[in-house]
Amino acid sequence: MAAPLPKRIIKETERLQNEPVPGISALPHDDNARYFDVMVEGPGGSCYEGGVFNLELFLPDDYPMTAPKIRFLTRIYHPNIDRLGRICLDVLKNNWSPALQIRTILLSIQALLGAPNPEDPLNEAVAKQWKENQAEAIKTAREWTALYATAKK
Amino acid sequence: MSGYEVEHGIQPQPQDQQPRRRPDLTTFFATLDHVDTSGARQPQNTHALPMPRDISAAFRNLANAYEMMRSSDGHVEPSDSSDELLGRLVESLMESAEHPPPEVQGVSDEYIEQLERVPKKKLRENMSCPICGNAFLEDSHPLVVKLPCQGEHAFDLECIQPWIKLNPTCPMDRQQLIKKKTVPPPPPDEEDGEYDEMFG
Repeated sequence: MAAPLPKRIIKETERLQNEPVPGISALPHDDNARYFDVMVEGPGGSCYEGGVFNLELFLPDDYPMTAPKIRFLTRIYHPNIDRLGRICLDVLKNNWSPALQIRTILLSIQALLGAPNPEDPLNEAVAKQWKENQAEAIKTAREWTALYATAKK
Repeated sequence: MSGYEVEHGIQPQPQDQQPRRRPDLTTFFATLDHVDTSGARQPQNTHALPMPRDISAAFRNLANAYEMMRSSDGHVEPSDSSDELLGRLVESLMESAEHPPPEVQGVSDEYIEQLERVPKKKLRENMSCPICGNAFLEDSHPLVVKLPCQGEHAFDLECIQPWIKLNPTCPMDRQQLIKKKTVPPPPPDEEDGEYDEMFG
């Protein structure tokens, strides 16, 4: 790591450790302080409740002028998340603002789990199911959560 | 080529016969040069703004290059998935070429120079720049500007500059800082009418 880490990233990282957001954790790698292992709990009352989802987060060189790159590593059945774990979320794309932070973005992602939006789908098949047979879609999401997102001990 | 090799006693290189791994992208980069006014780049023509058709041309050039990669006369048969990906890339690039994004949208250097400065005495201990997160007063010579948005949000000049050069919005409330530039369409002239991609 040739370039020194911007103070903002150091501050954000410290604050994430010292005042963690409930249900969310983000730990930087020892050898790359721009690469975070993220864990997000499925929001209570949603079909992802009880699930623990792993994500990877990378802060590009021009962060915070550009949004962090985030991807789900844990498989998830969600209309706005595709098979590769990519997330369709406005604040990660056009609506990014440098005043946003890692913690606010992760909160937005947690909120997206609580409020799937099949009208703006990334995963067409899931979105179709969500619109045509919501009960069945929610059931599948629960099953996937139990199957892929439950901590193995 | 053979003359050089004969003179220097060089065996013809076998890799010369292999197809190029990538198409030649120089045309694309040359076109991009005309439209990229980001960062410290200055527009290269007298018109401050690139023409939409130049932007379209940049997209189209890249799309053509991808298309070439796709239908490579193939020693290496492209796998289905990469072929599909290139297909999608070409599609979206052509789409962008059809509807070029509204040029480079950011504010001008003059605009940045004219932003209202916040004098040091008006800065409080608890005020910090929303972009870098540092207290303004941590800097012994703070250079803080206020945006003309309703909230009059303040930022370090150095932090806000790159953002509004590309996105003329306040990072805090997303308010537009400048009205959409209305550029009068270039006077129609004969040559424009006969614009041909071949000679673009």
